[in-house]
Amino acid sequence: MEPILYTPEGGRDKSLWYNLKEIYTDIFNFRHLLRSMVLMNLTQQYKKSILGISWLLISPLLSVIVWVLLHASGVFNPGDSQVPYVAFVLLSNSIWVFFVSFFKGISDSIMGRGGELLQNNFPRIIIVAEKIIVSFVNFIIPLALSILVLIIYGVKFSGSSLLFFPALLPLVFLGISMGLIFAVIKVVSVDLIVLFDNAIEVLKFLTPVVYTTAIASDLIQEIIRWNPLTYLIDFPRVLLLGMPIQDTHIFLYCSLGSLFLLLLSIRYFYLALPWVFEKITL
Amino acid sequence: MENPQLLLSVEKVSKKFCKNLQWSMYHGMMDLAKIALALPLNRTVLRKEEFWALQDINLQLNKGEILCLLGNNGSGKTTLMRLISGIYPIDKGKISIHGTVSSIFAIKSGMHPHFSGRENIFIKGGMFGLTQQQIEEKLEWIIDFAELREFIDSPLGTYSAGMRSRLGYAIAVGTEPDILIIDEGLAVGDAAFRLKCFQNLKEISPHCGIIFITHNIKRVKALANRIAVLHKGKLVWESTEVEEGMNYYIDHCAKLSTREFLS
Repeated sequence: MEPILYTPEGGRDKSLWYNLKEIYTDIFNFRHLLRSMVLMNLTQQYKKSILGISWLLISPLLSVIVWVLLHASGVFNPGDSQVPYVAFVLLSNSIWVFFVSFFKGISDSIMGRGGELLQNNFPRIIIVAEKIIVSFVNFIIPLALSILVLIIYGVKFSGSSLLFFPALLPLVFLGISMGLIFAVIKVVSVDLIVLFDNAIEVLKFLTPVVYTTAIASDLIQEIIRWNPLTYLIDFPRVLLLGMPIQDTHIFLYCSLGSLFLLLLSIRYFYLALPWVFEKITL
Repeated sequence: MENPQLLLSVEKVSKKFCKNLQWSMYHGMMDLAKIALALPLNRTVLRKEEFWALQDINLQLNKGEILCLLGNNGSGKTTLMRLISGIYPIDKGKISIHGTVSSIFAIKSGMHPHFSGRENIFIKGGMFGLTQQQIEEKLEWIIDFAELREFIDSPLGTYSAGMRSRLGYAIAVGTEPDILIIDEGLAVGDAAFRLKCFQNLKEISPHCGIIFITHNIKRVKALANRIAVLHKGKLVWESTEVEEGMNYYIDHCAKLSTREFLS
């Protein structure tokens, strides 16, 4: 058996390719821990409840009902759009929440679990993988409900709708990248994190999430045009709803960009994490 | 006598920390920026408010050894164990480990109050790197050793501190590591269980190496076949002469005027 070596190099002598292989072997070797952690994450808050894990279905169902009721009462009147507005909002919201859940979940993971990580040496990437899987589970359930509402409101799905899932991946990559970078920064810089958490809230309004580009002002339109999230969110959404596809080339550029950022952030996470670890105070 | 099998070697290892929280965060941010720009980190120099928590530590552990690590509060015992466990990065030197390491730092950490004892065995066992199958094979032994058969499906939150530490100890030992690190892990269990643990440590020690951290000198005498004393970040004593090491610790580090508790 090869001895384990700890040196001050701390992974600087290793390559990105080594890190990627490390992710694979760590997740494979610790797959059992990963499964336990995902189950724990999903069931923990409902352990004491009588309805138990069925809350995973009930809570998104309730929000769907609220949206539908609000719609029926005529609160929303955004003018012309090809898709019933309420369905559009439901879908867009769940995509946005999905994106933010990666950023928030992963960036909170190291600080949030600091005590556990200081006392137990298991691969840190397991916590990141746990957050990613939980984000997917938390996304799929409301998404399925949104699609149900869309069908009820008369939206027809075509074959291209299936491309929605692969088209969503670049957005996922971007969310994970930001999460990985900020997971490390969060340990040492409270100031930056407060700023960034607020910036994410603002970002929602600079991305056409809950409205179509048709109803925004000139300035916002210009910002939206330069915001990569616009394309990363709009393209898969358009695919799902079977609306006319536009700006495919910009979507592809943004996708390549987010893939590049993902690789960069994985490397940074592996290089930087050990050195901020000692700054975690219990 | 055959050659002892080397499990752990710590060579000239140093570790620095920062005394001031804000400076610590500032240095952390600088490190992050340097990493981003691929600049060297220069870990060998002390920056403002930094000090050496461990300096030039050399230590080895062979199979069959129970090494007791003595030291006052803040002498660097836990830091050294975290370096060996791979939790903290080292600033100078080299650590090589031949085999697997299981460490008990805070015995309750990594366990969750809403989940049953059984579920916690799977979670904590997973953290030690065991697979589902390996845990299932060890499950009965862990439950029996922790003496928790009746309550194993009750939530951990309803356990007493002693029950939790029994479970924690049983899981860590159940992983059958090559190196077992116990950092004050047994302080909570009752006398009967402590005795059981000591007997267990003696039983398993021929097959592994054990590092045991304690302030309780009585335990050292009962358990250790090797002793190391840390004082202000330096290893001031290291030998197989347990009695002499204890005396050195008492006279030079703990500076105790009475030895009556030794009897």
